[in-house]
Amino acid sequence: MPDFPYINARVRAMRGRLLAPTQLEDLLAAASLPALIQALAATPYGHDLQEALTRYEGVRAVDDALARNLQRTTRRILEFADGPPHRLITILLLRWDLANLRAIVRGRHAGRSAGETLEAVIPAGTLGEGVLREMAGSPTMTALAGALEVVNHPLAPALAAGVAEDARTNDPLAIELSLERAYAEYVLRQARGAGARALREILTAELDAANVKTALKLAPAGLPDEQRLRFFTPGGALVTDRLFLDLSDEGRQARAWARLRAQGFPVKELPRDLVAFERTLDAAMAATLAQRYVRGDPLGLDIVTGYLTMKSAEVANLRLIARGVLLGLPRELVRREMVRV
Amino acid sequence: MAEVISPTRMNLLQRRNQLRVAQQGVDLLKRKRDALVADFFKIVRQSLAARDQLAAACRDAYVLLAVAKAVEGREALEAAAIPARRDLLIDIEVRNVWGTKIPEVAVVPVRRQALERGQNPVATSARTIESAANFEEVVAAILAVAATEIKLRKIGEEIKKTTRRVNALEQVVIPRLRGETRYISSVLEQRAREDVFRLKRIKKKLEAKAADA
Amino acid sequence: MIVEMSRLLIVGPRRLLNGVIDEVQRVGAVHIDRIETDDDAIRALALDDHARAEQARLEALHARLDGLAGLLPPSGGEPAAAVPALPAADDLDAVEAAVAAVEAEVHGLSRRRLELDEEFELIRTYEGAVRALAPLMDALAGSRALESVGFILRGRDLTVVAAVHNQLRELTDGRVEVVSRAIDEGKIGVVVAFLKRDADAVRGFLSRAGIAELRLPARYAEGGPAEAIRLMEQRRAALPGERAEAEAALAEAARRHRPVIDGLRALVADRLAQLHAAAQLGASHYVFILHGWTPTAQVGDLRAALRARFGGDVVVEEAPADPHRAAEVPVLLDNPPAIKPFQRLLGLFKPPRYGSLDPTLALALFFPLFVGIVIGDVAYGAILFSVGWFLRNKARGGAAWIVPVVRLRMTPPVLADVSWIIRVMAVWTMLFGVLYLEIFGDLVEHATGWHPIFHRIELATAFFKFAVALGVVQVTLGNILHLLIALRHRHTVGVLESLALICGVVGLVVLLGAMGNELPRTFFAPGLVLLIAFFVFFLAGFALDRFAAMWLLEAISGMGNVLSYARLFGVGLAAAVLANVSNELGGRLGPVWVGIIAGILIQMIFFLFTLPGHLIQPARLNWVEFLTKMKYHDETGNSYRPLQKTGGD
Repeated sequence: MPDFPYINARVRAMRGRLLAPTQLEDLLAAASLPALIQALAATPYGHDLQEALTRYEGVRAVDDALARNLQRTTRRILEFADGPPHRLITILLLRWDLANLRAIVRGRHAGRSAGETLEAVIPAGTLGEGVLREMAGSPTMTALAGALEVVNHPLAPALAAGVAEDARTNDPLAIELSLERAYAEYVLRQARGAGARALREILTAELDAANVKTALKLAPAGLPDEQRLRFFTPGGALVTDRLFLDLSDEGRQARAWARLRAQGFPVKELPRDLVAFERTLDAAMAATLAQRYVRGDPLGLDIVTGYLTMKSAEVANLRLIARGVLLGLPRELVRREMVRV
Repeated sequence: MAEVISPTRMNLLQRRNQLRVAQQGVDLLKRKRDALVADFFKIVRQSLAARDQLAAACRDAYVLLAVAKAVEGREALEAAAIPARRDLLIDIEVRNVWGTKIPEVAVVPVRRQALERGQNPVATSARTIESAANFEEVVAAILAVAATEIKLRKIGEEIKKTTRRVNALEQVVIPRLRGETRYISSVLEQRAREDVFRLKRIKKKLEAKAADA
Repeated sequence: MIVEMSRLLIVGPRRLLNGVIDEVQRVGAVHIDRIETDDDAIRALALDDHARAEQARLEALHARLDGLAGLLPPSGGEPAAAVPALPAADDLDAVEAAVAAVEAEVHGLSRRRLELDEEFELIRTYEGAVRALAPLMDALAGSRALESVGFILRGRDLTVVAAVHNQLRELTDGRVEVVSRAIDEGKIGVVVAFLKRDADAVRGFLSRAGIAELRLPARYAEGGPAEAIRLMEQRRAALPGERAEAEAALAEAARRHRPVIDGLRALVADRLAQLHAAAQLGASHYVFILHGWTPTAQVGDLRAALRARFGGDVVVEEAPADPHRAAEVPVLLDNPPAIKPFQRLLGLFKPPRYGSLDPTLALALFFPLFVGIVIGDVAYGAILFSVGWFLRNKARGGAAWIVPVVRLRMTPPVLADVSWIIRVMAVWTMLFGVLYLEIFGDLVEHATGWHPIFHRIELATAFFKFAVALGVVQVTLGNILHLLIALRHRHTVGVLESLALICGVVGLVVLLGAMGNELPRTFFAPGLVLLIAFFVFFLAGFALDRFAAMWLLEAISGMGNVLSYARLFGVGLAAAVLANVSNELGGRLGPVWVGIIAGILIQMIFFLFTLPGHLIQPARLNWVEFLTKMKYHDETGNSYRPLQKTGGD
């Protein structure tokens, strides 16, 4: 890995521009959205915010500024990387593409306008805002798949296959599930070899978490095995398809959970409150990822991963704060939902 | 008393009869009202409880919705909401209380599983699912409130109507009948006295004539 | 020197509040402080609803103006356009209108630039597809009656294309044309052309087969793929020019609007400062009370200004600041012009406490001196001097300067101060350069054979002793300054401590020096006497305060501090040796003049890399060793920040 020392030095330098917890707290204390925008203008997001304010107003401008900033950050990291690191970082960015595609597919299904769909999109991945806008505006699902194909995106075949299945069976879930699986397969395929160990670990841990979440959500429905298995995404390290089936069956759940715990799953108790469980699990995952910044391999992808996790957690927190301030949520509530890394 | 009533004994007897019926009616209506009021208060208590439940459900639901909106974005929530649309059929049964038709709204279970709502469990967060579930709770609470409040309104109207009737009888009909009775009997008495007087005069005249003759 | 301060109370009827604050701001000499009193009649002055609304509007305006200033590119020092008349600060509607007018234009231009960027990015993303499709489209060019779709098949096998072709032919009774070509590994680009009436059938077939039609951006795709590709290429060529135009328009707007924006920002900032100040005042039912600090010399001016405007309605009450309750007095440093720039060296810390001493004079002497001792080269000194001169001219130019590479923005006053510090350092450097006879290292010595007055490499031991002696001087000076402060405050333990430490540190150094045969034996006795004196002071101090036990440690750490000055010796020696090594390296390269030039070049590289160290080591000695000794860091004060017209910064 010839370039990582350089990339990591640059990324470490960027870390100083992350907001301190006290700054977030100050922003949260803003009395109104305009006050928050004023306060945010004095942070490293200021310039993006000013640019965003030329086009949007209110919380939309904040969202736009945050997304733009995140995108610029990831682009900058890609700019000073090439060779294998560039490839690995690009793969790391695919997660945003997946989330964005999901949002656009849903928007399409719901018959939203391009503008409305774009509100749910965070253009931090490899797909730029222009392409996302183009896709959000495509008239049909097929057109959406074509738009993705045109930019030669690794998830394009999966989207096309999902769209074809949706057309056949009229099941919108097919597209999302197809994307989900294709993402996992693609990243695992790319993350072979010694240099990509970190990436592989991250993805398998994420797949495990996602599968556990899905299984717990499926449990009360009491579906037959083959229908439940449809929601399983293979590729995790701990959760096999059999364990998934056990976890999603209320009768066998407790025993399965004991097995999961024995294998070192971050959440120890079989959860009663799913919302709290997801919050805890997400926080634990984010913290583990961010820990890579401190403890990880200084000559590998860990620093970049850790930094990107911290950065995206910060952006998520700021989005949360903006909405919290806009909706007048109690600060305690917002604080509880904030991801701390 | 605009209309002129002929002060006849017939009329007097009729008025007296009417008065007795009116008083009986007032009595009956009052008893009905008491029964309705008792029912009313019983339902008020239920209704208040239902209202509280609705307020609590709304508070929980809206807070969680706001949080979900803040964390996951509006689109994710709306997308999760699209396939969930459905019609909810409610049974309404009509019950008869003291001759009043009161609708009974049967509370049907409205909670569904995530999959029944058409949500994708892989990509929909527990927060969103919980939020949807919370709003189904709200629907249930609204139904409960509707059930009690419709009853309450019906009974309330009935009480009002009964009270109005009682009042009309007590304040208008009965006093009028009493007045009329009084008037007729006084006229009749007067007439009787006049007759007596006249008879006495005639008798006197006849006696005087007899004495002269 | 710490400027003498007066405590000030300004009292007047509440109706004059705004006027008084305005006047105080105009004079710009009062550091407003919160009022602290137990009297119930005096409360903090709460802003009324009107003022709070004004504050909110002003804050919003300030943020918008900041935003505008950030959106406009920095003006490159070209002459500013004439400043148009600005609305009055209390006419917020007019200010808002003026801001909105500028905002409309600047936002429009910025938006245009953003959109151009986005379009460029979009076209760039589609480049691959365009490259794949363009040749195929050419093959079908001219068939306007036809409709065509392009798609990409994965796999190397061209039989798939044939299969698709067959099925399409069946579907359309042969009225279809298919062209294909391998793009890159595992991908085949295919374009299908068909009659418009077959469009639904063909599209339906493709989507059932899971083949996604390539879609070009909607804004270009209206006229069909071929037209879209042509359009995209055309736009791609035109965009850089349009972007440059947008940039130029922004720069133009910046030139026109910057004076207005700066003016309005100053206006808004000053009015905001007034409101912030008002919130700090105290008030009773009828009067307001302004409590603050003013340099004693300026009280007269302030009093005169207030009397001129308000007559006898406003009362100014003045009392000298109490140096014994100095923690709350704000501190303003003032020094003669030659020394004043060195106050910046203290800028890292809070100022000294009121009633103590200003160490600027010592810093102005020692810091450049140490730098001179370390670098000690006539040529380097000259380079430094010219840098200083360059900065001086920049400062005279009156515009802020952004330091290249580190992107640090320096305003003219900062530039002027920095340039002065650099020039003083340069003079010392040259003086020591003469002493060491170093001009680009030992070039002159090589060329002429002259011998320097003080050869710091040969006389390394003496150089070391010189450095340590400087340490004794400066550490002792620090202790003496502390002694003076303690005397002034009649603080007996402090006096004893300073005396003990002076005797202890000097005694230890002298005694150890004599014992180690580094100093003449005759120093032994005085050293011993000093140490005995230290113990006497120490015992006296210990009798008064048990904490004096720490003095024993402090004397030894003071000794360590003195030895710390050996870093001047180390860094200086390294600088000289590095220069000589570069010359030697250069000398091996060939002819003399090549050697000289190469040597100087290598030296310059070394110099650039070592310069930060050469500045930081002397600075550290002043900041850590010297300032600790005078116990500067133990008690600091607050800076004097008067309410004044700021000009928006």
